[in-house]
Amino acid sequence: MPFRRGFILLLLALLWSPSAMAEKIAVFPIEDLSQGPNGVDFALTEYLEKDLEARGLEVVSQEAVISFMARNRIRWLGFLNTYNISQVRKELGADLILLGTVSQRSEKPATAFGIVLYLIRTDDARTVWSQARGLSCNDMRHVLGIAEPRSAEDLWPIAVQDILENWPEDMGLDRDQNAVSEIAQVDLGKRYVSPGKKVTCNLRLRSTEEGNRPEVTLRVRGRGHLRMRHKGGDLYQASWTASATEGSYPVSLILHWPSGKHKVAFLGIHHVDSNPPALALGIRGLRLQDAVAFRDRILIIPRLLEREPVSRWDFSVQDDQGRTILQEDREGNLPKCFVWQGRAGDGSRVGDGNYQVVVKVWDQAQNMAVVSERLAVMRNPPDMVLEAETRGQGLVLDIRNEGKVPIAFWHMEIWDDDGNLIKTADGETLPAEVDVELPESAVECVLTAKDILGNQFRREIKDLKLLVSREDVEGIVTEEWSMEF
Amino acid sequence: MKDAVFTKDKLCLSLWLVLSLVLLCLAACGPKVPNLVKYASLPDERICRIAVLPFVSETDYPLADTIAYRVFMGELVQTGRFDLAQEGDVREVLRHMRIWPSQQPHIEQIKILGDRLRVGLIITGTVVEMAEVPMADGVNPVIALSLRIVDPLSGETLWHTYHRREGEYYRKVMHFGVLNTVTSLVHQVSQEVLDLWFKKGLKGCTD
Repeated sequence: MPFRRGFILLLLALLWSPSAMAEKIAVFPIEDLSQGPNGVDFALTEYLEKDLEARGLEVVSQEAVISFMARNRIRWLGFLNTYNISQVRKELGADLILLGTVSQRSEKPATAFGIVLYLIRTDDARTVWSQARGLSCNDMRHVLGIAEPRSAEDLWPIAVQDILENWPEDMGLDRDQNAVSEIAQVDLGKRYVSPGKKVTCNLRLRSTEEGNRPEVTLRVRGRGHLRMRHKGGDLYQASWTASATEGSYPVSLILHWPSGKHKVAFLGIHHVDSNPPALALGIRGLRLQDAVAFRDRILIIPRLLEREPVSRWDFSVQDDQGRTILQEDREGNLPKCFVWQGRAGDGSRVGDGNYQVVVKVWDQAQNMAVVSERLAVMRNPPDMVLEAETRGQGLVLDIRNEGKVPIAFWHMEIWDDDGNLIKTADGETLPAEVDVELPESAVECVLTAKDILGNQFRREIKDLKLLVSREDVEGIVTEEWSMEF
Repeated sequence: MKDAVFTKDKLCLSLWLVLSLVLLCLAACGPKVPNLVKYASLPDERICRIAVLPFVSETDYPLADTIAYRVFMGELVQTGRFDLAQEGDVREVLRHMRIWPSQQPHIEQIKILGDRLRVGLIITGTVVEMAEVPMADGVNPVIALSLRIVDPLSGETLWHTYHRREGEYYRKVMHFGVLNTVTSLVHQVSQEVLDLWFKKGLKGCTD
């Protein structure tokens, strides 16, 4: 009987002993930046381990930590990735990881010490606590100079103790420490959906023990709690209809075990979007009536008037009959600009005429925006008219542009029979008049012009007098003869 | 009469002293808050998960980028408002994209980072200045940080903050208040930047 009572007491003592209730922590070697990028401070690491042990935490031995680092090829200090963290939990059984960096340690020009500590919860790989301290001997001055630190060696225990005084009381471990399942995979489907669309969440749980399967529920803002259907194995699924109201809807996972333990995990947010993107086209070119004219190439710049992620786009060009002559569509964001070189999809140059460029854009919720613009391909040379009439003793040349596209510049040269340049004229506007003395012999006239689209015109007239009607020429001759007579 | 003149002189002297003190204070004071430029609005929804990319250093101070980065990250954790992507995950994705520590990712890479890390915002930082200026009784630390809040969906910078402080700025009376270490100054500067961001509308998961 006394033996039985003693056994029960021993069992109770074991159950209530600090180590049985303790959280397990792995203190990784503290990085020391004062020694360079790969510096390490084992003394400080050991100090931290002892202090945490004194606070009732179960500390993973330093040998086990170093061995873990070697096994997992962790060649850096001060940080870990999520996979490493989960491995620490799996291999070392640690609930918490303490990482730290000595940010400074100097004796000259001033004695200073700086440290940052991070505490990571291993079950969700979340940094739950952090503290930074910087101390200088100047910070520790005492009126009577009593117990003033004189070196960095004196400073660091003070800084570390200062930090550890703020050690967190609750790291959310009670909530999760008995959880037997972890989220292996979660798929919330599309992040952006249109109102009323079906949203499906697929979840795969890891390490679920047979006979101890949790009740899996989703909490969706505006929808309340949704029980996830068990689809066999560790797979769970839930579907619901997206809200009719635009907005962001966070989704959380709640796991309830028969033992009464529960775990809540934030899975993500889905966005309900009912509006198509606000899209505009910026086209730089000459606007003629209702179309933008160009000759070789034109830049078409799509602009989203409100910042929004784009899932895909479609660019097409249609001719006057509405036939699509060029089309391209891609997944992903819009390019900064489209360059159309006046060619159809097969690479051939399109003829002069009007075309419609159409840009369609779908946002992540598949709302579509369409915007179009009329373009005019104009490759014909400027429609220049050159006329001459006699006026007094000379000729007046009248130069006009009867085309739709304004002239960029024009240039005229008049050459005599002997190859001498007798007159030049140029300008940037039309119509224009040029006076020329009536030549006795044939003179050659060369007129060149270029419109603002780049189309060029060139005309050579072997004898300028041919432009003038015979009567006019004869009249002039008669008049000149009379005067001389 | 002599008393009156004496009183007048004393008054003038007092006025000069007050004026000198005011001028001294004005000369010593920098801007009270960090300089914040908003290029675009932050997302309307609360941001739960964010990533801070390793800082870039433009100074000669050894490992200025790592010091500022670790302290800033710590300050962000302390706010308790965000789930911070692990530095190891951030560095892993950067390594996959072959972005070296001194480089800042471009827009497309920011988008990939956002997607891979599943974060609602990305913070990038540059240490523009970090120094310890020797003084008679120690050093005066100096830090200037340039921080950007980037939208991982579009890759665009939403907010930009520049903040510069010296340890002497915090002097209250005698040696009290002065920040004597780079670490404590970065800690203070990070706190001021984050305070401003929250005041101007940055919402965490718990807001």
